Amino acid sequence: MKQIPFVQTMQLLERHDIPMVPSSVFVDQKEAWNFISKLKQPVAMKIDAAEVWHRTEAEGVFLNVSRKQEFEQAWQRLSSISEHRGVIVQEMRSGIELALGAKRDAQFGPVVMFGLGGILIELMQDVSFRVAPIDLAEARRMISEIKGYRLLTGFRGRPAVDQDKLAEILVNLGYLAAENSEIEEIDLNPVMANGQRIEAVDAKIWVLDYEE
Amino acid sequence: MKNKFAALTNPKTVALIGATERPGSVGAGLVENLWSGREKRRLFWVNPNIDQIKGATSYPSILKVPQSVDLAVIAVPAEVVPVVVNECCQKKVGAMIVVSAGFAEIGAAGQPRQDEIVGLARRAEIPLLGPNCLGLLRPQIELNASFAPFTPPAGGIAFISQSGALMNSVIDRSGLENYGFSSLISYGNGADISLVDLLWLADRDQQSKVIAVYLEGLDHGREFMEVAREITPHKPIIILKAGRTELGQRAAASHTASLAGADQVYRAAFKQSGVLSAGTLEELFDWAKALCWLPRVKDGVAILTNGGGIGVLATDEASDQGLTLSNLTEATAARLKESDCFPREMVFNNPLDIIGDADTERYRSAMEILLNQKDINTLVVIQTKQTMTDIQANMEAIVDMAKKHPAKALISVCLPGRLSQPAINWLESHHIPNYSDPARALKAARRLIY
Repeated sequence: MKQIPFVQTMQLLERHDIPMVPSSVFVDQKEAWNFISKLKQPVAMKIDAAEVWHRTEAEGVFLNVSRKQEFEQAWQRLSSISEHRGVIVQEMRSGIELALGAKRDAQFGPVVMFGLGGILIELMQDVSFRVAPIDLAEARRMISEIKGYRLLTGFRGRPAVDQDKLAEILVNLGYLAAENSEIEEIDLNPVMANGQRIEAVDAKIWVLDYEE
Repeated sequence: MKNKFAALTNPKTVALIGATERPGSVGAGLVENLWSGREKRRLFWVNPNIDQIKGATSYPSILKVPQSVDLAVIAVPAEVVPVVVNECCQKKVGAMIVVSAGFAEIGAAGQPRQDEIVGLARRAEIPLLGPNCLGLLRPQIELNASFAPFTPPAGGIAFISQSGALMNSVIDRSGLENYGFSSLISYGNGADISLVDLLWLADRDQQSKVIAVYLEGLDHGREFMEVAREITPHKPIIILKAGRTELGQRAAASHTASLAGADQVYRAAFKQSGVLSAGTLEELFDWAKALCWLPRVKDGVAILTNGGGIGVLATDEASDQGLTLSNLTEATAARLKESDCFPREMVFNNPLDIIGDADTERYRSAMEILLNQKDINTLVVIQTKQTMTDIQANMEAIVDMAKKHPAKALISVCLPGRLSQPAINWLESHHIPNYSDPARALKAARRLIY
């Protein structure tokens, strides 16, 4: 399986109304720095490479980059990773970490997943599944089914996650998976939720084969 | 729509190919079982090595059988099956059951043979059940085309099993239970007739009130969901899916795929199509029994008990199952207070504890008053055996109440013992389910909620 270029992932998500944190991909160092220096806020820099499946594990993620020296160090490291396609530059986000995903099941075809994201997804495996596509009511049931559901409802003073918006994103993800039969797997992890703002911070889409 | 499986489910003539009276053989088991329905249909034995079976001619080939054949049951060694299937196609039988093993279940060695017989059957448009299956039973019409140990009683449960061995155990178990079956079908490799076909058949069968399935795996998930979605609004389907710990077939790249084991996806698909997912064989039949005998109801449960502790256990399970224990209304409390059969120290709550010395009159009055409260739709009646507990008389009161309140679900909890077992059997013969444990009862009660 191959991961498609980040630029194409962004386009697919946009076409299916799945919001993503503002991101750009650069191959030119100068252009990248020009962009970052005008933003006047720290950014995240990540590797976009066909063979890298876990960016953090490949030391392909730098967070809170704002000074030129930090930028240059990050750029140097990221451009040394083999088969790299470019460097992703994103605004930083905070909030509740969610994970959304999809995969093609041998018996049932496209399936969507919802759960708590970040490291919790591996530790707790607190996720729910549905065979896609799904409607809004099914998406709402899927959201309320996870054990950590209370975290989304304004637990201990955190802003409650906009569940209508979240359900809509899940429905859109279901259609994305169902309508693009060449897609094998999708990970949107983390998806950062802060009240009404729900945006994918990282997104990966795998296909069986991809020609660079 | 014409039922293309009529020759399978209600044959007027059956031929057994591989018939024998050799003790302990599959063929002999089939002979005995088919023989038990000899007054309902004509039987023909086929075996070139034998002259007579049960005093009747054994034909050398199905082609020599002097009449048309609705159902051909094939129990010959795997190598010979393709030849026999071919002859059945020439004979234009109505349906085939291939009991023989040695096909896709043994891997690459058996796959071509399976493809061959399915090809033959499909070209001739003859439905084929199996191979590698126990067969089919319909107790109602005394049809037992299987090598099961005996024919279980008739009733409302349609049991469909991918495993033949498990079906045999279920049949054996049914001897100790009070539920019965509309049909039992083991489909083995499901090479031609699939689970989807069998669900469709069970749905059309007026005798079947609930469909219970033991499943190992499916080939056409979407088609299954479509059919299940059509059936579950009017006839419940419960599935016990084996292989809970099974992992996905290939290595996964994403978190999503590594978490989406086959079982998670099956469970999601069941949920989306209204299928109830049982975790154990016990649950499968606990729920099947309740769904077969009781009406489906809205939420709203009352618990009536003569023991405080067991009432608390029931309450805990009700809460775990997400059931609502109805609050007793002022009218209900007033009626309980006015009645002179309750002791003064009694507390009028739900669960309603009518205390260890409760006699049948107390049970009867309490049931009557609780069932008259509108939002109590399920009543769980618990009996612990105390000196003054007349279990049989109490069971009779439960049956009376069920008749008086046909839209409500009455469930009994009574530990089977030397004194209570006959009363439990009597109760269940009137189609009120009894459970040995309040947790089992409340789990079953949850499945009645629509």
